[in-house]
Amino acid sequence: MPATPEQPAAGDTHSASNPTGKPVGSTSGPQVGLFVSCLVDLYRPNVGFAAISLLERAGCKVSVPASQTCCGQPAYNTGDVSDTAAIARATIAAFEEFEYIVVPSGSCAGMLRKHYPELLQDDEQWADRAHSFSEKVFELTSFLQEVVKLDDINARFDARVTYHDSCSGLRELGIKQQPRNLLAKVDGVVLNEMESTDVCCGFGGTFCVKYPDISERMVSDKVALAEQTGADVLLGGDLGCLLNISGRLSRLDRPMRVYHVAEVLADMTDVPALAVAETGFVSQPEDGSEKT
Amino acid sequence: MQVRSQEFKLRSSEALLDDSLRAALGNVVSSGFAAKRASAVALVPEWQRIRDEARVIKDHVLDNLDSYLLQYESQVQANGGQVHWAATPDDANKAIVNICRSVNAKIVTKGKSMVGEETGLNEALEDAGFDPVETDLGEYIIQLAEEPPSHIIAPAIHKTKEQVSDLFHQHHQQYGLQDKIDDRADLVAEARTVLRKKFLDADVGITGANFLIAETGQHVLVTNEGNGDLTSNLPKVQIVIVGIEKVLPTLEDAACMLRMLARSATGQHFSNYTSIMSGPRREGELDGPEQFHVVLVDNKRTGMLASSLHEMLRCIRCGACMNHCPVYGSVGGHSYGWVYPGPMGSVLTPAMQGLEKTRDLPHACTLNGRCAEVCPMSIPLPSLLREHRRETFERGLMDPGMRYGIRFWAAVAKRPRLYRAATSIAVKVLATMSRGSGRIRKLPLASAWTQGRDMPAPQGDTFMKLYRKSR
Amino acid sequence: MNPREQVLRNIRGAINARKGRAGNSVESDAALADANPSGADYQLPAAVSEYLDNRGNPSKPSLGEHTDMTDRLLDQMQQVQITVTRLQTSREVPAAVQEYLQEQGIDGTLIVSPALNSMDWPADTLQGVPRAAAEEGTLLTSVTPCLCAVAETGSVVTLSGDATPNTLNFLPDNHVVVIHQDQIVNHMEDAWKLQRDSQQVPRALNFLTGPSRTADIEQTLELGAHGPRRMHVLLVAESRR
Ligand code: SF4
Repeated sequence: MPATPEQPAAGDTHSASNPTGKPVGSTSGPQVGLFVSCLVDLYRPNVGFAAISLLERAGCKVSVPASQTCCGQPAYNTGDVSDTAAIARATIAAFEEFEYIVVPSGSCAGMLRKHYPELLQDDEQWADRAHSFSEKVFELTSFLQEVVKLDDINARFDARVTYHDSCSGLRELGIKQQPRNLLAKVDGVVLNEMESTDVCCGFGGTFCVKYPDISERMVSDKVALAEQTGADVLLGGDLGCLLNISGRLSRLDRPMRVYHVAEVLADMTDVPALAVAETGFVSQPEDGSEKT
Repeated sequence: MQVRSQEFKLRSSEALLDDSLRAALGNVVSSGFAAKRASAVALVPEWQRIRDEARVIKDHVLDNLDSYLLQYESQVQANGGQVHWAATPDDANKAIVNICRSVNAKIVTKGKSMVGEETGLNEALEDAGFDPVETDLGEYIIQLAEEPPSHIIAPAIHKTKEQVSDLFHQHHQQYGLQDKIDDRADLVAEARTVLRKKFLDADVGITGANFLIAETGQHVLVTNEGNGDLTSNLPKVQIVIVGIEKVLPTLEDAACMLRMLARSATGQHFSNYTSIMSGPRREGELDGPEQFHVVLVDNKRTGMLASSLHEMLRCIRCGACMNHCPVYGSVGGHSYGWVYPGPMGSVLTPAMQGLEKTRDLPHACTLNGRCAEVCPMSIPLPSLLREHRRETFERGLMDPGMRYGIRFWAAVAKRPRLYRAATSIAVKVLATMSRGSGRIRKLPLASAWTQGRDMPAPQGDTFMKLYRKSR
Repeated sequence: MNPREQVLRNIRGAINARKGRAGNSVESDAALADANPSGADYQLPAAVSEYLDNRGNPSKPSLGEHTDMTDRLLDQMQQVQITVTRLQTSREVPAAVQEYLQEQGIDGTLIVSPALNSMDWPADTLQGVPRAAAEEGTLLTSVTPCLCAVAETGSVVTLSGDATPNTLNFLPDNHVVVIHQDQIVNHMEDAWKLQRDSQQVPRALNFLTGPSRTADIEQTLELGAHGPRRMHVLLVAESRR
């Protein structure tokens, strides 16, 4: 049986999280294009719905262009500049009509905001478009905190949490206080900061599969520091890091749970944490080949 | 020195299993140097301004490098010294060997010089029959161990006290020091005794230089031990070997850099010995060398100056980038396989040794950017590594599996409909594989991921599909 | 082409290539060659000197909460294990040195800089360069004057010269430096000014910021690596002249 968590239908999400009472499709709030990111699309739709819910709570009109794929980072960081530029042009074309482009990932937002203009700076037709596009791109928590100044967070999460700062968000976009400020408004959350919260978890996109040994050491160090805080839950704003950290915790059979910060802010933590089974799952005996 | 960066994967995997390396590296990266730097920098409210000025100074110098080197040369001559130019490592080694021959040298003391490591100077001196003795304690330790440095300011950072004790016991018996000692202070004292004699007996002293001052023909040498000064001032011949990018217009510019160097390197406010020297003993002086020589080394620096890597030439070799690099902290300096490790090494080594032999280095990085954040010279290290990656890709030097994998993936990512279809299938497959457990323990096509981690299971369908369904 | 020509040509070619890419005019190939092969009497191009003349002064760090530079200096020195005794006049120097040696239980021989030989030293005091005594393995304590002391860094700065051999800074086991109150300056730049006042470029200007140290074994600090194990300052209130 596939592990399909019950998804709130997007239509319900709209009405449930639309306390402003404005009809869906209202044109009064900012028009936001949600770039959901390939990892959220693939692994964690709940984060996408949480982002929509938060943005709508803040009065935005959210659209999700169907032609989006990935920001192109895997190709960019592998040195494949021409393919990346093609992906960048397609993404810009799909999103430039919006007032804002919001991304629930610091790393993809950094790609769109910082690297697209660099990538296309010598392209006469696209340089200006890339530039004006990039100025409209925001990572989700910084958008909520700094642009639409969302104050009314109606969520409860009874847990001691620790927060992992994802590198691109932190260093390319200055994301540090924004998620913490928002979390402070969630009932029940106690934040225990870990040592070296700004040190990379070892994900690094293709790095983690090109250099798995080094990546494993880095994520092990990260997990150890997170566990030292005594927190029950680790939060972050980038699914790449969170897949990496939760995957390591799961391999070590550790109880610490991992969520994307948007899930907590949107009060959508009723689904299992990353790498955790649905309730009621009974583990099956593993066959020999799975003993790694 | 022979480059072994081709073996990065193998050597880094071995390093990860080396417990004494792990103990020696301790938490260089999370606390140690990094914490000391942070508190030193916090005490200078003008830090960012000084950093910005340093960048402007160095960029100006690089735009006028020929002029400043010529001014430096002319001033050294005026001070009674000689300047030798070296386009290649071989030019540099030959110039130095010739000077040593001309004075019938036997013992040659050396202060730490990374450029000397680049050119393989010790080997060249030995081959020519001289006895080069490293005098920086860290360099001395690795010279005994016959190893290259594993850190640019702490060359023996990978050695534990016990390993140093063994090395000293093995090598110091020839001086009548029979007892094996374990105490750190005693080890330092024993090295002092052995090297004191070398300082006094040396015929030639060779050091590097942190900065060259064009206006006055002086060079600035920074150490904590004082070995650089004993090497410079005692022998009858003083030689400085230095990269051409080290020149600065005036002493005022050096002050700007010095304010950042020690703080970035070790978290000290200022290094113990900052010496500004030029030329041989002046008439009437009672000490100092009789001859003064400078060897200006290019070794691919002009190639970098012409390329998109030119910003790397601002580097003042403080080591902050490696002190803050979690990859360096995991695998240590030797994994990088040449003279310069860590982030700056992964930029420099391919530039100096060619990408063919070093293609792993620019890729063995998560591009997390902590290095660039602390670099006092604002060198965009991740962008420069990306430049190397671009060249690796464009010149077809990349592992073919990776190259075709990425091109195939990109071809799909450029076609949204195809991408949708592919991701839907992938999600279904992954979800099935997790069998409701929320995780996948082993993935045939991603074994690199699952060797040390589980793969969290997807939630059941792609976001795009669920979203469309919900509308 | 000799290495000098080659390096210079490479540099000019590289700068040209970047200028060209940025759309600026480039030098002709002939201009890449060196017009001054001896290297002597080189003058910076006018545009470069002009740039240097017109750029502003670089930032200096503020010197913390101290309004009195002597306090700042002493504070910095304490942090780098330099001990200090304060004196009224330089006549007190020889006795203060003896007292320091006794206090610390230091044996061995005193060696003073020729610049200080007019002071009243004990009969067995050496004078001049320390090399010969060091070669015999004599334990030495040197006493030297200085050019200035820099409050910013907590450094003593010495200038090499006929009466101030600089090996006295490095070879002895202990180093005592005499600083007059009016020799304390604020920043490094003030030391450069004093250097420029001397007639020729000195062979060595040495900033000494504490006893010799190393952290090369397990990143743990040990004093007395190769240079002096102890550094002591005699701070004299009366002015230098
Ligand atoms: S790259 Fe920057 S941080 Fe690294 S050694 Fe050079 S100056 Fe220091």
